[in-house]
Amino acid sequence: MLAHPALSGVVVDSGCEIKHYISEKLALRHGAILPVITSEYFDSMIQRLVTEKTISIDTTASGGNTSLMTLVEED
Amino acid sequence: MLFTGSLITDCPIRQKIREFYRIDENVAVDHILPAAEVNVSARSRAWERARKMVLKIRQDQEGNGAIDSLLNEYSLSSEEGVVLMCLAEALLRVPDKHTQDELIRDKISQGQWSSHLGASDSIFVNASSWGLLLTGSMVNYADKRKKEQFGLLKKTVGRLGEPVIRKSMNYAMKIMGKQFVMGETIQAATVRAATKEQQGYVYSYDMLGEGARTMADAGLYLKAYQDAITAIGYVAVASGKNDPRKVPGISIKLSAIHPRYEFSHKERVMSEIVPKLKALCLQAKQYNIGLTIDAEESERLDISLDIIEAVFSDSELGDWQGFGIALQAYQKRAIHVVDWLRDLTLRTERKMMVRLVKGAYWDTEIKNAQKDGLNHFHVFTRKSSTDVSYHACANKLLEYRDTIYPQFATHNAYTAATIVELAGDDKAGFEFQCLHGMGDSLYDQIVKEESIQCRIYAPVGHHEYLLAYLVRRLLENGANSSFVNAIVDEDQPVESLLEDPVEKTQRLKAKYNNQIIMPIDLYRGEGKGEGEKGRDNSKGLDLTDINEIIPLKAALDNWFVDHLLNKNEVPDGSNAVMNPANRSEIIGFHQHASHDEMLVMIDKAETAYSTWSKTPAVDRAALLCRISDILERHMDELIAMCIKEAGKVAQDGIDEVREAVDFCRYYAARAIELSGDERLEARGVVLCISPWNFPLAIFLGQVSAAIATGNTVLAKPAEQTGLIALRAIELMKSVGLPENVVQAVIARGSAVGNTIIPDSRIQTVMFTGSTETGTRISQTLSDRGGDQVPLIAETGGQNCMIVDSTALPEQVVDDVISSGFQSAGQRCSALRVLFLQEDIADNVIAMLQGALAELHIGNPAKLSTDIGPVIDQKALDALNAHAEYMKSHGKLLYQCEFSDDVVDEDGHFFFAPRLYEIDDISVLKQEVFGPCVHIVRFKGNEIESVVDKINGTGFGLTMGIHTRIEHRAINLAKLSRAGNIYINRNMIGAVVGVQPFGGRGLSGTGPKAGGPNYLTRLVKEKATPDEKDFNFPADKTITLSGDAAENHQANHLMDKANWAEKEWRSTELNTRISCVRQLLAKIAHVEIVDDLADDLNHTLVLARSQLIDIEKRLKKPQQLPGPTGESNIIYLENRGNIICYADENVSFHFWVQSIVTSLATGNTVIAVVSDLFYQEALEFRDKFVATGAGKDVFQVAKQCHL
Repeated sequence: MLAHPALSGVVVDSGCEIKHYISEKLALRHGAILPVITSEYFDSMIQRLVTEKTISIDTTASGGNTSLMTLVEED
Repeated sequence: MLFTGSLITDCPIRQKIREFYRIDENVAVDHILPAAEVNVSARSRAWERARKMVLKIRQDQEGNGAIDSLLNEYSLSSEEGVVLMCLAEALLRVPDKHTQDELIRDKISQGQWSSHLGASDSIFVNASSWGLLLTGSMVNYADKRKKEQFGLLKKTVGRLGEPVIRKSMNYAMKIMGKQFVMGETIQAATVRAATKEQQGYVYSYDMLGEGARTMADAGLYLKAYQDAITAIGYVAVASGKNDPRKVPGISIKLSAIHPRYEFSHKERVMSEIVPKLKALCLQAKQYNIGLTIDAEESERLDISLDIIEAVFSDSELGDWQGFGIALQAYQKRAIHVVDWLRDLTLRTERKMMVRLVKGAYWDTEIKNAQKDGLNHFHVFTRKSSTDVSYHACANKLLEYRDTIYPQFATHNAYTAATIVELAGDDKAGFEFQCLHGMGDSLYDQIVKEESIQCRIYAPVGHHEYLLAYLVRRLLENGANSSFVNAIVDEDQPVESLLEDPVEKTQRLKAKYNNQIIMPIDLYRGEGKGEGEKGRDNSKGLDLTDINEIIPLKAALDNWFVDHLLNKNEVPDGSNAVMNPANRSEIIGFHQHASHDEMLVMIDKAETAYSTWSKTPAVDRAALLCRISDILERHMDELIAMCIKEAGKVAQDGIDEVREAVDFCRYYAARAIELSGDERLEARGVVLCISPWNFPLAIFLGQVSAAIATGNTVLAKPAEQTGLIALRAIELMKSVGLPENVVQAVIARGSAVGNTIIPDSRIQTVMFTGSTETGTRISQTLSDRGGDQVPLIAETGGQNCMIVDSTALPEQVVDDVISSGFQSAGQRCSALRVLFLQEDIADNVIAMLQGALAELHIGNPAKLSTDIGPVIDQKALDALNAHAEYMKSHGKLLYQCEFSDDVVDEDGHFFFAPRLYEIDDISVLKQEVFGPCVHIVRFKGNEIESVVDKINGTGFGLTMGIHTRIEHRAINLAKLSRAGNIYINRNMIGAVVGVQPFGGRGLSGTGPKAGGPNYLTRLVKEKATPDEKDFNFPADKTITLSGDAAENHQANHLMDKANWAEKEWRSTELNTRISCVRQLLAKIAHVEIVDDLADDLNHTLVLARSQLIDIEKRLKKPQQLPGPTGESNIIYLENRGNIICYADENVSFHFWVQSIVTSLATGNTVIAVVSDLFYQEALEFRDKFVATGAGKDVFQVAKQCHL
């Protein structure tokens, strides 16, 4: 399974000695570089189990900037 | 460098214009206020006159123009108004029915149309409402799940269905078109004009269309102008008036007759546009009609004055008095342009027409200045200041009536009344102008009662072009600050429309409008902390501002003189650094570090770590801020190095420095935030390996992040671009970077790979480069044994853009050119594969070919160069090999020519940009890192499968989408596995903190550079056990490897997980969380669990709180700050298929938490467990399946399957 192309990562307790074996096996793979996730704190485990996507939109592409054009000027 | 000759002007007025380009707003307003003053009695009379006019306009409901009625009914602040605008902009240009239907569904289902029916007296508004209502009530199914509902409806409507909807929508749009276009042809327009001409109006015709992107389009526009002049001339001559002031005229845009009407291409502009414009003028002269040059983007103003001066001074113009220009009052320098025009008319003893407008596209000008980090805006930030400027310019123009015929374009009754007062008895020395379809009532009063002429600016052309124009008009006049918007709003008292802008402005404490964020202040709201002031935006440099580029040129030239070496000045055993555009230029040399020297560096870095890691985070952050400041102060020399060492053009050099500056300030701020978490500490010595394509920005991005968090750094810049990296470190030291906190390693990659990476003292590696090298680094690190060493890798991509038939071809072409070819395509984010919907493919390809033909490939040191060389021989060889491969695997659509300044003495690395068509993305076996874009056609109804194909490459860096169908854009963005998605814009130039950058899968490990989570990988959790305490006995591997049957089972399990993954990831967050909650509830009743869990209750409590935490983080994606008119959001998604391992060394607590977290964040889980956990795991699985989640989302395997 550690060699399967669809794998995305392995979570294992940092107190578990198998973690070194897993990281060796993962490094042998071709393709994406995969993480061995051994977070000590569960909030950081969330961070390690997600990936980020940025979406940038030009909201003025069809016509113009409605928010700027409908701005009510203050003195 | 940059340009030859001098741009210094000997005309003091031109110099004033340049000084006022982006002058401080207070100074600009103070300067024009006195000039805008009108004496008190005239002001009172103007007020009274305007009041009567306004009352009359309000009474005169019938007289309101069509735009006024439309605005009244569909205000831009209403959802319907915005929807109408979006639909109008795109519908008529969509060629295929399928996509038209999608677009209509997308837009119309959003509004409440029936309430508008019959609410307006205008026949036109009612007609369009009928169209919208008819469709709106039928297409409430933008959401796919409502499709069934639509099916029912469809049955009821029977055979009518979609064709009727489409037809009625097109009908509604065409009604709008008819109302606002003067005619589809110039002949039709001039015929239609006759009615109003009899009432005392005249016309100026505008030929609709986008600016030309190709010479072919420019030729068509020129022909259209010529034909129009002939047709208008015919009418003019027939009138017998023989005076350009009394007969119809034409308005032209210089951007329509030339594809490169840009300051950077000044030589071409002067040699090619001047004769074209002159020919048009001579033709207009022949019929003695007026020809007015429309105002365009602010960065074109200076060059337009050169063109105007050249043509206007031409003696062949003779006694013709029809030459006109439009002048925008919203520019701070407008008043000086009036003086310059006056001076020009006196010098040439020729009369000129000057149309004074307030100025359009104000929103775009504001956005650009924010994006470019300029010190001030070049337009006023208040409407009232623009009005003051308008009055000031009007006063002057009226004084200059002996040589200038002023044409006051306004729909504001107060402005018009003031001008009538100022002009006194003169009714013929000037005229008013208004837009076709607007201000009818106002000008009926002025034309009939005051006998002052009004000229109507009338668009001519096909409806599909008209609508873009109309949308713009609606937007400009639907603005709350607009008089036209206010007058149709009966709730506003008449007096409120009559405020004197000069009086108002004099009273203002702050002339500058604080609601418009200054470019430097874009990121003030970024920080989380109380009283946090955010960070400064990096300063830009405007290459169209002559006052800025004259000193820049001098600085670049000086740097070059100081650093140019002879061959014999390069010591033996060193490697010379040569300009990739011209290898005869040597600008420095390097000596490579030896194996031993590198080891010494690691020692030093370790020593420095002990003090640096203890330096308070705020002090480290303060250093980074000082670094950013000194980079800004040394921008000139850093740009010079980008040009000469990396072969970049000047604009890329500016962007490079800005990005580096932003990185320093951004990480400084984030590091202070992170330092509040006591559980974390610095990691140690970090190795940073950066690429040549962003030799300063990525180099410093890595380094600043690492040192901000208390690590010390060995930084290996690319061999090709070491000079700029070394210079950056010098600058850092000069503002207090302690010795050995950052050391540069100048060496071959292989040497670093053999010496530094295997050294166990290296605690983290940051790498940007190729996917292959990334894998090699990860293997070398793993060979060290022990814990996995954190590796932040930013690797290759196969970046695609998807364009459907609703997209605006001109926008697409601009974005393809910049995304695919700017920086010679040598950006990680650059576009490689362009997916075009087949219905528009031929058209877009033709435009792309034409646009490529206009690119200047040459010496990057020149401003006029668009594309420079690639970096080195290796890059060039790879591109040439690709070109060879494409001979048999694709179709060459276009190949650019080199310009003359590609010199061949000692060689260079230029590669001609190419455009290809291929059958399928799979033709490309690897990333092509250079200026090549490959087009693939797709069918309109197969757009979703395009995303699947793109995801299938395994890469996931950037993706572009061009569509006006909102739900489609969002849907495609959701489906994509790319890390950065760009919608309706180009897909390069990610800005730090605005578009956090980085890919997934083959494209990188995350976290994103310039994003909120980057620094978390550069610190260590203090509780991490010492790796030396672990010793994995070799005999244990036996239980972990299985026989052939077990391997087969293992593969099958992972395949099933992978099939289930897409659906699980797309499942609503609420549903996912609910499934996991149910699982937890059920576990509480599993008896065998008791044996494993020390404290089941505790585990369950923590797991539930983990779910709340996950929900909080994933539910509300983070909005990032940025310029106006952009939406930038960072979303958190799953990773994919996760193994959660458990044996006797794993606590039950950790294992449950790992499963809960993985599942809730959208990952599939295969729990690989020893016998101890096996029965429990199976129970878990069954309980989870029972919650209704897909059956392969959570699976169980044994150790032998691992």
